[in-house]
Amino acid sequence: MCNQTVSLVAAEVERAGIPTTVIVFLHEAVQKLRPPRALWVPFDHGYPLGEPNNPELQKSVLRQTFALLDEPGPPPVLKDYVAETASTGTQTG
Amino acid sequence: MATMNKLSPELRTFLQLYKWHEIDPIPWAAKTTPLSQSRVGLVVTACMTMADQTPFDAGRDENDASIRYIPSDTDPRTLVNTYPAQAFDHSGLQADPDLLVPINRLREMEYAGEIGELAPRVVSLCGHLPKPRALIEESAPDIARLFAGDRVDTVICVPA
Repeated sequence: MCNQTVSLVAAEVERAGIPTTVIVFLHEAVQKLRPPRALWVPFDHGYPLGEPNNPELQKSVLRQTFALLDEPGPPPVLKDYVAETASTGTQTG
Repeated sequence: MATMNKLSPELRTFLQLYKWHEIDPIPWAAKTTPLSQSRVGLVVTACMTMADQTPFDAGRDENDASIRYIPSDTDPRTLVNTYPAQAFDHSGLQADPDLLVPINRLREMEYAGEIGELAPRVVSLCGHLPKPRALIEESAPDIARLFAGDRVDTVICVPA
């Protein structure tokens, strides 16, 4: 249900002229909700940034969420989180 | 991909039958300020409050759309989780509140120059709102006005 709450808040903030980006869990829900920008994460509810006490993973999720702000649109911009390898920093899918 | 498979059978059935609120038309505000110069607003939905704030009442007809404003210099470890339901596994939150309220992570990104700064107030909600009318009509417009007043350049929303 949080998928809907963050999407609806984002839409209203966006209507006020402020760009938004949200993290979401469920493809099924977000394809119907259609927030302006959303990053799907492959984690369970309660773990939106991946793992506790893993600041690099948490910031990786935040960076990819912010990166949606650079997408030209049109909305909705919906992308999946891509895991990064620790050794190279490259993305592996 | 996260799926509904790991949710409780009751919640999974509820969500499969639930009529999601379609956003139409989809609003769109283009980014005009580089992220490294942006004031970033944060919205979290894990029913977190400061110790001296009124707890959320998530059991109130499942429709407590009220807002708690949390100063962004707050240590997330001092926040109180007032979400009584087990809609999500709380063990991660208990181990590391930044997992759902990433004030420290965003501060680190601020100090590293990745974002301009974290906005002065974090918006905290209860995300479990199957009847979102009060959210749509009252709380979300209030949040938009708050961020406009705080001259926020962009907003990131983190679910629970």
